[in-house]
Amino acid sequence: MQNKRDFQARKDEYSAVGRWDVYRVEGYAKASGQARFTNDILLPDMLWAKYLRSPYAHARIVSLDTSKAEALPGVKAIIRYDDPEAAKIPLLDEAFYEGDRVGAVVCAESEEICDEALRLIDVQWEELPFTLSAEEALEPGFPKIHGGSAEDNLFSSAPINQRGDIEQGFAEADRIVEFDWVHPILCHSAAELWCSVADWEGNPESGHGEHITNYITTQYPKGMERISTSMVDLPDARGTCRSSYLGCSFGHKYGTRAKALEAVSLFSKKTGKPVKMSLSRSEDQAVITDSPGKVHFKVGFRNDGFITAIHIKNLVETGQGGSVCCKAGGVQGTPGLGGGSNRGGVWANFKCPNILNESIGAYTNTTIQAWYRGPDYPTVGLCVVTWMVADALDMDPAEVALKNVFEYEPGVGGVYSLDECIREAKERIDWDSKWHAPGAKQLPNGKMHGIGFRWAEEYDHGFYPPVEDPEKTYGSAFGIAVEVMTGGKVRLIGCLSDPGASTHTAYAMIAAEEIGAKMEDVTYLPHPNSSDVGFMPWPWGGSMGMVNTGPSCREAARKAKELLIKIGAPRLGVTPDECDTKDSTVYVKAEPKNSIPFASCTSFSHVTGGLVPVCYQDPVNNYQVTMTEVEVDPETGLVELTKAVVVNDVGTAIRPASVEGQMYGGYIFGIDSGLWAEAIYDEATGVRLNANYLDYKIATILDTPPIDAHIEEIGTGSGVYGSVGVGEDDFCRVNYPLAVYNAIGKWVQIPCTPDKVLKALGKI
Amino acid sequence: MRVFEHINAKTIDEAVSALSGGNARVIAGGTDLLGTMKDEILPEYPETIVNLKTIPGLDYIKEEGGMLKIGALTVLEDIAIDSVVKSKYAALAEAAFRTASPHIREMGTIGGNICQMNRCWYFRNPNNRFDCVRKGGGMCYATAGDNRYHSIFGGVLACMAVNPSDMAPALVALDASIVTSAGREINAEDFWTADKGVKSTVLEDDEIVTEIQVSEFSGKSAFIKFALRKSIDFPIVNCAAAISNGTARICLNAVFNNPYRATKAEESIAGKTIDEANAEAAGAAAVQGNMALTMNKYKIQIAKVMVKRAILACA
Repeated sequence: MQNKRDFQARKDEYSAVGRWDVYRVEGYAKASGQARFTNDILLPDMLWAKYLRSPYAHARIVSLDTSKAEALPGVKAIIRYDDPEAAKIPLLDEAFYEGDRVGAVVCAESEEICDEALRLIDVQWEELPFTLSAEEALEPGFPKIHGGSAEDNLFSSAPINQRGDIEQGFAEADRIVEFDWVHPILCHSAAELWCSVADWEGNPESGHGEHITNYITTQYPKGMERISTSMVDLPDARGTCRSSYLGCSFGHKYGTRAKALEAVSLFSKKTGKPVKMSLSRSEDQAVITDSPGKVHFKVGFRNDGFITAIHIKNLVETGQGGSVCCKAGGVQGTPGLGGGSNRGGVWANFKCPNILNESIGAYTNTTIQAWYRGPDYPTVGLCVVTWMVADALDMDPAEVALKNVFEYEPGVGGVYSLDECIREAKERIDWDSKWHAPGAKQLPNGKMHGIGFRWAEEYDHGFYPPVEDPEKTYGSAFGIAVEVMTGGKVRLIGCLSDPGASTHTAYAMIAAEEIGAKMEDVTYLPHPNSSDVGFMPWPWGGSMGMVNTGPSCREAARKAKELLIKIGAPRLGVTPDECDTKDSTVYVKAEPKNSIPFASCTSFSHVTGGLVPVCYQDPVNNYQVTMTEVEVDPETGLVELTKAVVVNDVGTAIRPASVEGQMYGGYIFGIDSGLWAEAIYDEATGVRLNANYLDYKIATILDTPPIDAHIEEIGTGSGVYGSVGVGEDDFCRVNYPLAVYNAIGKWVQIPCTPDKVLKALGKI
Repeated sequence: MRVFEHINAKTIDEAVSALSGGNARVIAGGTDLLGTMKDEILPEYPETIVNLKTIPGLDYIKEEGGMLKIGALTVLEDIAIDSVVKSKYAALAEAAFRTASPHIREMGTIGGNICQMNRCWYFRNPNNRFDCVRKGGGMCYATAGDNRYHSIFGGVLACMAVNPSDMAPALVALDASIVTSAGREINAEDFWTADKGVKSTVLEDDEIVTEIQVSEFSGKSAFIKFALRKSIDFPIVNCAAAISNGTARICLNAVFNNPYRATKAEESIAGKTIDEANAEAAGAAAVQGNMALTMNKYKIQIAKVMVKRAILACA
């Protein structure tokens, strides 16, 4: 239980917001298994679909014989690359990575029949040149290895981002350090696998009554609606996309990169039956990953720790494209490839006046890429630079952070609180007695003790970038509808997927707060959690779910309250301005005992606050600090985590349990990729070697140290009740190389595996 | 998975006769077999699965005639928590406890554990992607490929896959015997082989493990495992040591095709006081003659340390 003191104060102020003792509205459904995830959907007469996948890193189909597969009993349809509708998916005759969908997709009565049909497809392949290396891809004359329009393998060469005068900055520096940093390929590893079910209905000849419903694992139901209707040549108005419970997302369940949605939509119309596609774990791992890269930093700084110049050269392996921009350009937090984001990182978090970023992205024969749990990459660069400077000057890295942090102006974005977050974290982990010179502390058990400090100022923006065009502004609105039903109970209807943070409960808390309802009287309707209910064209896939959608929920609840009072006041014999609401009643302010329950106000009809679209555009930023203690076995190179403190200033915690959960989740999520996890490919063939959970290593609870997650509520911002969001930076694998450096006095690139640690220690 | 025939064997003889019919495999806990089938890693898909769990009387741990006897169908969790095994054959209990995860220990049997196939990621790549030397192909892809988890002592037929069992080194160190349906009593040290194709053992196609026997052991034994995660991982290196009256039996695993008995370490520590210096010397002796591949030199260092720590744990 965090923030007892604040909790107590909050309780006086709010009836629901900020309370720990609120059950999740969807808690029983999730805990009991009743919650229906997309993978749980089974419809009558449902068929299944599956893609043919390439065994080669780059190959073209010379001939494709599907006749045996078509003749297999139970096979209902096959779409080949040379069928007209294949272009919609698209499905090509060329594969650009091992595991790429290519040539054909089959539809049959069961997944097993799909598998058998795929085995019966006779393919003659022509293997083509491939590479896993961005450097090699960019070599002059290297063959084109991607399906994009560029003739060479340059994915994107960002406009050079710069501010100030880099040469001047280095001239002003007392010291200069240079170093390289490498990011391996990561897999999102969401618990729920990619899945989509399409259910087309209507008269195929006249088109009468045509409608397509999709159930899909997505963060973005509204956008998926558009894609599924386009597959079957329907206007958007004739599509519905449903995604209620979502078994995690971590950024990659945003678009349709798994291409399940496209295929099942086509097949559903073709066969007139519901069709489902669910990716296997190895497919999920092998088709979508994070963006890896190599970065060279040159950093100039004064002897007092102030950074005067940062020059970054960034080479990104962009795989076969996708959402590369955010991560690739964001390696240092600069607007980068494809427009990118400037959330967090060196660019946005340091006030350093002279920064030059040169980013290049090159296609490689690995997967499609997607965002990966927020702006982790920029934070990696930010923290490594902080530590490199601190180390060179023998300074406390926290002092370097404080010296260089860009302090956003107080106001809408939130209040500066990095100093307070650092103070709190240091006290909680006892930094002053534990931090030491690198490699200086051997414990009685023979292991080397280390402690790491990671910080971030996560900056984000509602509907980023802000739009001026009224059409876009209105079209970017978020919405949750609020109704007070006959019987006096409140329900919320929206189209927001819940990826696990229990956001539905948080919205219910806002509604309870504003309407003056008892928390137990408020529910969030999980079905339909549907794109045809409510707004939200712009997804929270851009993060900031609560900050974006909270205002709409609050406005709708306020409208509903206004109506309840209008109905209740005459019955209480007073005017509306003499009334207020609490505990699901309308009461007379001057005489609180004179009240009537909501149920009496809604005995004739329900009352709706309707949907109040709000386009949130203000910036928010929150400050986050993580400190981690490790023990490194100098004989084996094994790194073990012993303690962690996570401090996150969220402005106001709407639902503190969700905030805390996000902080735990973020920390634990970073363990894998900090210590062990990376996608590993065979260089000779380009085949992925570890597309499974034994060899791609996810942390178990035994590997997780005790985590002290502390919620700060200083940085009041412009979100509802002063919230600025939890952000995603609590996930940060950079914790571990920093702590390992403090333990052994040597830099080890992530993941900090024993072989690298032993090598750094000179043991091998 | 594909369609297959499933036979519930009632007796050992029935199982053996079902196996002699051709392309058949046995299933007990299924924790290894089902993975191989789902991923279709093997050149041949089994037509028949013979279930051994329906054979009564193969699930026991007992002391009898001066030896510990463990039925082949005994699950690892039962071995890990058995008070006799824990007190007299500590290496065996610890090896069982460090295997996989709680769920898998409740499913997986000792018979299955010692017969499991190797975990080489070329060998295990889905859809039989690599026609490697163990599958009758011409080459070992790991030798020139990513061999971070592979053999540090070379390989039979040039295969660089390692034996991944945690139980195996404990059984070798404790000088156990494996009793089979064919009436063979195979010394643990001779039980594993890499020259019978995809299999890891000397068993014939229609031969199954029925019992594990360990002669009464009065010394001290220990098992140490090095893996990245604290649960569920296969070993990068593990080591069991059994020391009695100045004589040591030490076995490493995950360093060679078969469990690797560290005879040079045994000689090094024989008759000596168990202390840091002597244990370290034995560790160094254990890895003599190693042949590291391009990416697994670190395993030599870890093997040394595992031997040292296993010996010290026997003090």
